[in-house]
Amino acid sequence: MNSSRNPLARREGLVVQEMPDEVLVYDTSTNKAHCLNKTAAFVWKSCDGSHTVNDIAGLMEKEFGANVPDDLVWLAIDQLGKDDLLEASEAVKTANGISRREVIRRIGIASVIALPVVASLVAPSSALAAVSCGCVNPTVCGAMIGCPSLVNCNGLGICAP
Amino acid sequence: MKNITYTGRINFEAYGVTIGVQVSDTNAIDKIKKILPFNSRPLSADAETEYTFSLIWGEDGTREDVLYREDEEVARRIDPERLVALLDTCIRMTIGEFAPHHIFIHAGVVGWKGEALIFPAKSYSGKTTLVAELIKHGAEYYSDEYAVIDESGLVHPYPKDLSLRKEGEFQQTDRSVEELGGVQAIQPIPVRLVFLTEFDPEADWDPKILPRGQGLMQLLPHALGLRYNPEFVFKLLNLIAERAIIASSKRGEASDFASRILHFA
Repeated sequence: MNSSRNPLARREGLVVQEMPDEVLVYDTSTNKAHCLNKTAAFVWKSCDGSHTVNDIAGLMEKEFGANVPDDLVWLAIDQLGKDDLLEASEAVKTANGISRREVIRRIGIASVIALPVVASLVAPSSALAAVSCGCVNPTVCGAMIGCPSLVNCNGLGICAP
Repeated sequence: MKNITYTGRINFEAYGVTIGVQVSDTNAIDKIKKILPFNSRPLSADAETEYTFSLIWGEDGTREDVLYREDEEVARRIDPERLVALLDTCIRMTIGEFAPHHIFIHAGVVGWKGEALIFPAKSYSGKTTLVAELIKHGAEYYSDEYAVIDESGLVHPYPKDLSLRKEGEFQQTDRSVEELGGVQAIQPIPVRLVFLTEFDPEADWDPKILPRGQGLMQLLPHALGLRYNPEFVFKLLNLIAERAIIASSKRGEASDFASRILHFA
């Protein structure tokens, strides 16, 4: 199998913290943190460029002892791709735009395996950057970009709550 | 940045971070000495420091009052007292962000039965009021600003007076923990509970224990060093999560919440 067709997890620029049922990933290029649930984490870790989507579904069946349709893996790949946690590949392109609702309908809500979930947040701007949001009145805050508040000039003279 | 003649400088180190503050007016030196952070130690005036703040302070009104961090202007044209208060915040945040052997989580912290209860929260979210109530209920005071955590996962005291607003008054006044009938903690302790909460006057007490990953995700925005050293922050937060419960609930009045949380812990 041509490996460029298969999904490949991105590694560069990521800080990874594994936990028993989840994986935390911090993307240093975007300053985003992601929490992958067990299903999403398993798919991500299986994306080594040598496994097809069907292979990964097979690996999951062994791991979880339950039937795993390819659609579940496609859904995970779609989410992981959108969060820039996969290298570009044919698999990511194919997964792009897959309908979560449609996949749930096809898999059935009675699936014993949790749907893949990737929860994300952007790390707050540098604490020091927030301090730079000096102000003398709330009007000034409206023109400041990236400050904690656009409307409040607090007691320390910072545009923040 | 204009060419300024600096007439005084204070260098110090705290939590492994070296900071210098240079001033254009030596009258500012005494005020800066009062805001030096907890656990800081003085360095010689010619010591090299990693971070430099400059306070250009003209009390005679002939010059603008300006605070710089390196060459970057932080604030100007606010009164000198505010500028010193802002410098205080800048110094604390610099230490919190760049400390090499500790992480600083924006949180209120108390000790209870030899373990720490941490309440991560943003500024102006009622953290100090909550900590004050917990102290009145018998908890030991650690901090109402940062949970300072070392590489073995222990929380260290990071005390300062608590700024509280008396009922019916707008102005806040600083009160020591002793004035509140409490005790200032001395020893580092392990974490028992991380509790994520926000004030809601209509809220019912409904604590939920969070899965570790979800709990850490909610904790991450409160960790000052996240952007600077995510690997270190992840490592220490995970260490805490291995031992502690991470839970959340909205909270009503602080007094009622304090007694419930101490029972919960």
